[in-house]
Amino acid sequence: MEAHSKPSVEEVVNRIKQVMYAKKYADETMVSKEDIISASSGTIESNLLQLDMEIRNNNLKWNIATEWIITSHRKTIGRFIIFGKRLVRKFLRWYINPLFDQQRDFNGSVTRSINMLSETAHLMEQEHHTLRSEVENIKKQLTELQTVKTELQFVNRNIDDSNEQLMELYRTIIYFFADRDPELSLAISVELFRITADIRFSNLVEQLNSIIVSKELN
Amino acid sequence: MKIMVLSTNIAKWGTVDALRKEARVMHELLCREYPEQEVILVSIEESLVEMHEGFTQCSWDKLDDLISQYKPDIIHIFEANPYLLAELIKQKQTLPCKTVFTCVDNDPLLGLNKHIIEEIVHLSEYDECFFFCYSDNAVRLLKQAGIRNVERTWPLLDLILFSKKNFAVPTASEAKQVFRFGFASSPFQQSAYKARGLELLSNSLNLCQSEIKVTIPWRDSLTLPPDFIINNPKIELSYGFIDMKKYFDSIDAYILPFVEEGNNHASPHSFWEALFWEKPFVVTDKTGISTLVKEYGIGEVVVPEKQELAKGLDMVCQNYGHYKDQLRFSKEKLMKSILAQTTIVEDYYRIYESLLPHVKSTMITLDAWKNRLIANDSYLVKGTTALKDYYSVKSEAEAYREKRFSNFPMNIVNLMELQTIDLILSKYKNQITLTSLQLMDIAAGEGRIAEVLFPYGNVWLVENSASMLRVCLELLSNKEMKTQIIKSDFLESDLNRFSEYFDVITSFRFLRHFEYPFRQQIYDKVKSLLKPDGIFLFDVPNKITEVKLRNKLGWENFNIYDVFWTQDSITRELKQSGFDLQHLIGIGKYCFKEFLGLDFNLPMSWIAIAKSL
Repeated sequence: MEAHSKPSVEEVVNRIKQVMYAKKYADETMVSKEDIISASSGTIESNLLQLDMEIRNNNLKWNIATEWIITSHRKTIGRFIIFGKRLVRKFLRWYINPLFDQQRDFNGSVTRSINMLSETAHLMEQEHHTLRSEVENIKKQLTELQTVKTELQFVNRNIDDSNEQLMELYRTIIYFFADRDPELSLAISVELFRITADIRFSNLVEQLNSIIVSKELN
Repeated sequence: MKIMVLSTNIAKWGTVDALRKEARVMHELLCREYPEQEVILVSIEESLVEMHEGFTQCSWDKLDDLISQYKPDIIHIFEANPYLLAELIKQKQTLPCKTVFTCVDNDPLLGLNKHIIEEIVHLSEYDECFFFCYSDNAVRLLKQAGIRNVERTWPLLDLILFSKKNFAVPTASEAKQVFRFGFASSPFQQSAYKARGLELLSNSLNLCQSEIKVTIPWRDSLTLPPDFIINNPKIELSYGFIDMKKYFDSIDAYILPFVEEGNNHASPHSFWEALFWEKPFVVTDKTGISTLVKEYGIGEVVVPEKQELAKGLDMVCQNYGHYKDQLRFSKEKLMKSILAQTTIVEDYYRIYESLLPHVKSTMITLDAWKNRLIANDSYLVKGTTALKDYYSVKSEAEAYREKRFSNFPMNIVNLMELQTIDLILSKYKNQITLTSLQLMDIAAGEGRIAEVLFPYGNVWLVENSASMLRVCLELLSNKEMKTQIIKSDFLESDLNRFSEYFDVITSFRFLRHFEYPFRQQIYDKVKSLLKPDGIFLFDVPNKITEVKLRNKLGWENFNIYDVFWTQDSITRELKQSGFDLQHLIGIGKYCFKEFLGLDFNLPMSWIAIAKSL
């Protein structure tokens, strides 16, 4: 009680600094908050920034001061006025302080919760950021793959063309030997049918078998 | 080629017993005729005796070691019957090599149990072994049991007796007071007395009207003649070695009184000696050479009963001159075959070569196949009943074509097969210039072959499985074709009304499931149904390809008994069954590279075109 009745100079200076800082900070944030909202409202980053500011404010203001320094600027009766006010405050303390204590506890709890939520939100935001960059990477790779696919399609077309040419070459060989050595042509045709399951080769097998069997029968 | 001539107890009985003598002669002839080949004579002895020249002795338990050490290509066994086969495959998956049996007994399967006979039939089906016998009766008995690879041959005699200096036979007096018969095949063991006909001979002599005496040179063995022989005044006995020339000089005729087919040599050496010395014969019909005696009229053939034998003996006495004339007339022809030992050995050698195709493929034993299936929770479908049951299952019928011919390489094989049938029919139709043919497909199944036949005329389908027929009818329902269906088992069905009715009979994936006796029935029936110029088309699985394929894929995955052939064996089988093989057209060449490697040019099967002989 003595401390309240006669605060030290240091206490008074600190208290003044606190109040001034709070006021100044509140004014500053109010300005920048509006700017941010107008600049990028709705994004996770801006929301989190705003949240951080509110949290800083919460952290400064959660602790409600129940007693403040009673002063008076009157020269003669000021001393009595201070005395009277202090007396009234002393008499009312039993009634008012418990309410303020409850409010302080609640404020502390809410502020801590919000702090934790903020931390979680920041962590999630980081994770979100990582995931987004990964998604970005994947998108990039997908684009690259699309390019590769297009190239592959081109290569495949070339291979198909080459295969077709090769098959034509084989068919030429098969036709070339069909009379001279039908057995060789048959062997190639059977093998090509095995590899490709291409009906053209089973047709060739049929033609060559016909040549061979007809020869045998004659 | 490495050839092992194998017999038993040559050291013990090699000088007196016919089959052991034959093994020795065979060895000598092979060495002489084929000096470039490696030939060894092996005798399994119950107890090893001192070293003998010219052959290797071996105890029963060392036989496997000797075979694996020598690694023969051919084992040629001279024995009464093929019991040694069981010894060769004991606890093995295959025979150690191709095996040729010369079975000297007139009943070569006597005493063998069903299991061994089934295994012999199986190995013979796949050309793992081959049999030679000395009589038509022995050949018939083996064929009856289902053994396909049987040929008749002549015994390899010791030809010293038949030398040229002995060829001029002194003319014996033809009018005789006492007729002297000879019997020089006395038994080795008491157990053979009855089969050899000693009792019958003794009893019948007392019933003869003619004055007869029988001279028996008793072999120098551990057994003594029975009392009824010793005490019979009409029988004269001599013991130990005798001069056979003198012996045959001293007798007028020769007797072989065998009572049983088994336990008797099918072509006794003494018969040939007696023939050489021009002695008329009295033989029972249980004797292997009785068919020769009958065919050439060189003696009497009787049933083994004492009255009949006595009658036979009297007949020869009374018609002695006649039989002597017949003998003089036939002797040279008959002796020619027995004296042509080079030809006999050449026949053996031809079989050795045919059993050894250029690509090696060894068939597993029936026991090994069955055991692998059992280990795979399956069983072997073998025999007509089992087969019928198997194919009457609906799911099997419905999935038949899909299961067998949908994937490579069987889709290509199927294509080739159907096309080849089509080409054959087309050519045949042009040849015989008929507008419409009568065709029959045996075991038509779900109509795979029938589809090719329809354009050529009127088609008769024979099929026993209702499930298969249902699938077949479904297939045919959309097509307008002249079809008659006979729902019956081909073997059991009465098709007499179709005698010489068909131009073409086809049978695919059918014949291969049957054992030789059933195949013969099928051949006979087909022959009766075909027109004289008709053709029989059927598939012939190639043994080399099939065995290689199954060795790769595992025998446990093949649960239906199939028979495979080589070109030689199908030609032989068809000839034996009254068919002339006109063509064998390969199917499925180059389709099985994965399994055959460098031999992928071998066909999977052939289509055989055969005509009745």
